[in-house]
Amino acid sequence: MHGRSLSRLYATRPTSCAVVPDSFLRRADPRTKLALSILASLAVMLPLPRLVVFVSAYAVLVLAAGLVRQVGEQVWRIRLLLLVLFALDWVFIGAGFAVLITLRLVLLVTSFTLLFATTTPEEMRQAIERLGVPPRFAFVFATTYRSLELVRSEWLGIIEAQRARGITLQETREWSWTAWRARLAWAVSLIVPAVVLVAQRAWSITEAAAVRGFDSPRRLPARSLRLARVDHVLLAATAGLFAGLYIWQ
Amino acid sequence: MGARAIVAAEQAAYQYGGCGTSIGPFDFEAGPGEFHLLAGPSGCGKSTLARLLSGVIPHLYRGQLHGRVTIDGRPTEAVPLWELSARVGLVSQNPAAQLLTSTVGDEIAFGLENSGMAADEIEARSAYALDCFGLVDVIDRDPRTLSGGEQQKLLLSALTARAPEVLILDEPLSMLDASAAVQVVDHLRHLARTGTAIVAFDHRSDCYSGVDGLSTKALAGMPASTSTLPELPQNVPPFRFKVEGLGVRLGACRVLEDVNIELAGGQVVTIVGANGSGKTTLLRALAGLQAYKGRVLTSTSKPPRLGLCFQNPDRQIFNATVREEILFGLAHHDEDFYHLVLDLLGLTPYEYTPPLLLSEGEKKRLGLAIVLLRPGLGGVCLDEPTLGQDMQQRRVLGRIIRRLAAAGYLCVTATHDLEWARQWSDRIVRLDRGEICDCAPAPAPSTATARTMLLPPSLVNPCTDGH
Repeated sequence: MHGRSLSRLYATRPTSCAVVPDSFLRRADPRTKLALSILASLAVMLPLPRLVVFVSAYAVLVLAAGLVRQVGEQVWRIRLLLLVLFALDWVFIGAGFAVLITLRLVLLVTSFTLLFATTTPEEMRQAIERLGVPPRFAFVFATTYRSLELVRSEWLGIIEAQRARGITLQETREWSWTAWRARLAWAVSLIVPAVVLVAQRAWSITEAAAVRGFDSPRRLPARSLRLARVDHVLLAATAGLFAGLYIWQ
Repeated sequence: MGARAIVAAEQAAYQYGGCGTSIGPFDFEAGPGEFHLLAGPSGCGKSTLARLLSGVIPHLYRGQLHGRVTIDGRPTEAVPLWELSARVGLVSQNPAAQLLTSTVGDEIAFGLENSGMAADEIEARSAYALDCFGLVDVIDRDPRTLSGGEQQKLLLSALTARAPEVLILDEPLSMLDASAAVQVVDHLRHLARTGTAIVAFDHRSDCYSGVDGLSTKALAGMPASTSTLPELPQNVPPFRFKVEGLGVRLGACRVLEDVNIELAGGQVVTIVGANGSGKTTLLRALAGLQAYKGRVLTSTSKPPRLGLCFQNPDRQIFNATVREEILFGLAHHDEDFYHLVLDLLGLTPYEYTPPLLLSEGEKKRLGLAIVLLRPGLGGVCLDEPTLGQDMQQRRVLGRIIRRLAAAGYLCVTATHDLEWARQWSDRIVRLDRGEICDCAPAPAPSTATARTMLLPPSLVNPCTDGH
């Protein structure tokens, strides 16, 4: 009716643990995806010609796994940095170096999308446990990962609640003491409820986990992880690619 | 202690760390197949007793426990919590804060995995629990995307899948609409018949009236004040407005569709409907916090400003005292009106108290005070104002809202509490999947209903679009 709309804040579903609906990468074992992500991030050390080949193969994987949007979003977030670096490198060093740095950055920023965009926190927890991490720490990791989105939505809820009572950050270029006090008050109006709510939520999670037997020495995972054909194919293809790049040297 | 009691509290009292007040002492016991309903005013220690009986106190809280709480004769402090949890299940208030995983299926499996069950058994128990609570269709959904009622049912199913001998439920029906509440109580009744002891802490005692052998116990506490409420001055000019064809989409989801509603100052309108029917979204749209398609026609030159009181008041609280919280950001305020609002909402004794130390009901009233002090206010929207409130506090809230209406404010509330809505509203609007399916005067109309709701064409001015 009046006032600034906040609906865009609520138009999105949780994203941090939202995974692509279905793809071969979604069905792959989390450990395979973790290996692929680590290898992709290590590939930044390759020289330019071999890096171009690797990035081409990586692009095919991203395309086939239906991760173009997720990878695109990651790249879009650092677009300014990429543009500035590309321009500076080109002007001061050369086009080849500019391309190399850009590809390295893109690969570094997007490599773990292979894992995070296709794996739920519970699958991640299971994989970490299988890698030998104690269940308590695996649960903490998964809960933290899952809570990132909760913290974000809580933060947006606080902004809306404060805006509803008229507490907004006034757009001003003034640098006076009064303007700084107003900015500080606005920040405090968001930070204090955020700290309180996060602490309350952390406590609720602790209590909820405890009353469902968390820390029980009898714990048995419901699903067992087993490498399937898709995992073998992915791992073999990656090994083949790295072997080819090594021989090319 | 009875010979058959599984869980028992004998003169159990608890003093939280850093807090001077001791809660209790409580005497209580529950045996196999018994169904206990415990009610009492807010602050009487219902949640504390629930934590005591489940063993969460003293295992997770650092305070002082007096007396004795036993499970099968063994003191709770002597048994590890994971072992107690296999015998006693606890569902606390606020289901959203208790979700631990990212799919409904995983949420149920979490507790079963901790019990050391084989995968086949986990699957069978999960399927049964999901079926009992009608959650089979949402097994792959992220629990956070479910409505409050569905989340509450999910937690109940996660607990019952573990088949504890005692089920302790703190306000288990608070987020449920009438039909879902009946379904849940039926299931609890079935569990009691099969030998599970049910201990429910709930204000909605009417929902349990059909339970055979129900044992009801009232916990003593400080009753809410029933003193006369002050009259507010008539400082809201009369207004009427009409919303036409209101529609809201959130992402790909259609939340509200072609909602037509006429509202006027001095009315108390309650929006009811099943979980996920769009009640909160409608309030947010009316308060100007949600973009929508549609038109607003108003009898005044400017659309009336409606303030929104949120379900969770903690999102607004950050000041050192109640006074500072209410007056924050106000360039000018009328000190007399401020004190009148404090009196009306029963906050005068807490004027210089840190708001975070208030009870949930007091925090909700603080949220209302914050809204009422805003300049140019024409009305208030209250999202689930009775949630977690005892009978007396609900009555006080109803009287406050009638006082506001008498002063010319439009009061729009969204609630699951039909009983409260019937008692205090002029009109009940029923939403069903984003559309108004019923809009009728409340069965027991109050004097304010006499105010006409329909707008004469001469008063209708096209005013604003919702975009």
